[in-house]
Amino acid sequence: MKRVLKEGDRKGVSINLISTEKLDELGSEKIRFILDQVKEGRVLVLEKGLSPSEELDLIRITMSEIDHDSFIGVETPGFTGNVVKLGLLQRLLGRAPPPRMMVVGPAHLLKTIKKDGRTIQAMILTRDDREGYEDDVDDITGEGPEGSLGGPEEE
Amino acid sequence: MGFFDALMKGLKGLFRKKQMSIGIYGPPNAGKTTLANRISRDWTGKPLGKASDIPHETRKAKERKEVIIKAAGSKINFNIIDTPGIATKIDFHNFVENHGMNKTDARNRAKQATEGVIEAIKWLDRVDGVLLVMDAAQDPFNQVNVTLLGNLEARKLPTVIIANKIDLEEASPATIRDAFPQHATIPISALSGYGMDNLYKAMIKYFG
Ligand SMILES: Nc1nc2c(ncn2[C@@H]2O[C@H](COP(=O)(O)OP(=O)(O)O)[C@@H](O)[C@H]2O)c(=O)[nH]1
Ligand SMILES: [Mg+2]
Repeated sequence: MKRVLKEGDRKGVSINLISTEKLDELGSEKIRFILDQVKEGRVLVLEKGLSPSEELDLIRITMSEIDHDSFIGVETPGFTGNVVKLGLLQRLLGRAPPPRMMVVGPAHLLKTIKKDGRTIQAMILTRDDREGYEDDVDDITGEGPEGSLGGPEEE
Repeated sequence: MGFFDALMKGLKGLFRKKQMSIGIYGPPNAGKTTLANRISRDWTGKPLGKASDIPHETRKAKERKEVIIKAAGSKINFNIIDTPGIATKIDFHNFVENHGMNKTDARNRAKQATEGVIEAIKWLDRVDGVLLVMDAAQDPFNQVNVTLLGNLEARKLPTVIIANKIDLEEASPATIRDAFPQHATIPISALSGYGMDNLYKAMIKYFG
């Protein structure tokens, strides 16, 4: 087995940890940055997740960029403020708690397995999980496996 | 009722819009259209749209005006909007592999479904309240439910959570209630009609 996987090697999936500082620095470019990375096939772990309105923006822009051959959307396991019980003061102020850790990845590579308020299990799909899909896409697009995608059935 | 409450209620009555627009939201296949049809049939005699076990059957929002609901001694004129299911991903292979659709149809359906999600999100700006439909037999912490609720809360839109499909053996409305204790949760079966009286009362209470 190879010990070092270079980016772009289809046998490896790049997992990028993005710090709060980086996310804050990105400001309004945050969603664009995330989507560009995810469309490159990377899985991002965000130290500070997205706010609800940013999450909705991510969904909206994702939908406008799905092309059905190379990008079928995002998978975004993450903890959310709703799940956490708010403190009395926060509740009185009607304030949502700050966003928490979140993972964003391409839906054909990443699948959320189990989620409760405390623990999230996600899985990076291996080639085998995706095999059937790759053959399937090849005969539509005429492209090699590089342009292909796969994924579990939709929820 | 205190003086202030009474005053507020009176003022609200004076300025109440003629119609309250209520969006039916949720992930694909939660039973939104089945619910929209039941509400519409119960109060206008007419259905609203086509329900299906294939996800993304509703790919354009549909509206039924003048749905006058009477419950708990009050009545409200609602405008009910059935919206397309919101998803973070749409894979046309699913329609081919699991629903026997041909590839062209599947790709068209997927394309329209992406547009439907965008339309559903746009409608959030126009509704006065939301019925958020969840499948009580499934994990309530799904990203769509959580994202939608976060946005409804941020917009301060009155929201009633529907724990649907409680006719199913695996259904657990209590799991939904525990997950989102800050909202009213009404267990129903949109398919059989069980729990609809409670839902109508809740609509009067929370949207009135
Ligand atoms: N068992 C059960 N099935 C339901 C219920 N409501 C809807 N369904 C089924 O769930 C599937 C999706 O329903 P639909 O209304 O099209 O969902 P939508 O995508 O949210 O609009 C259909 O097969 C419905 O018959 C319910 O209360 N109980
Ligand atoms: Mg529908």
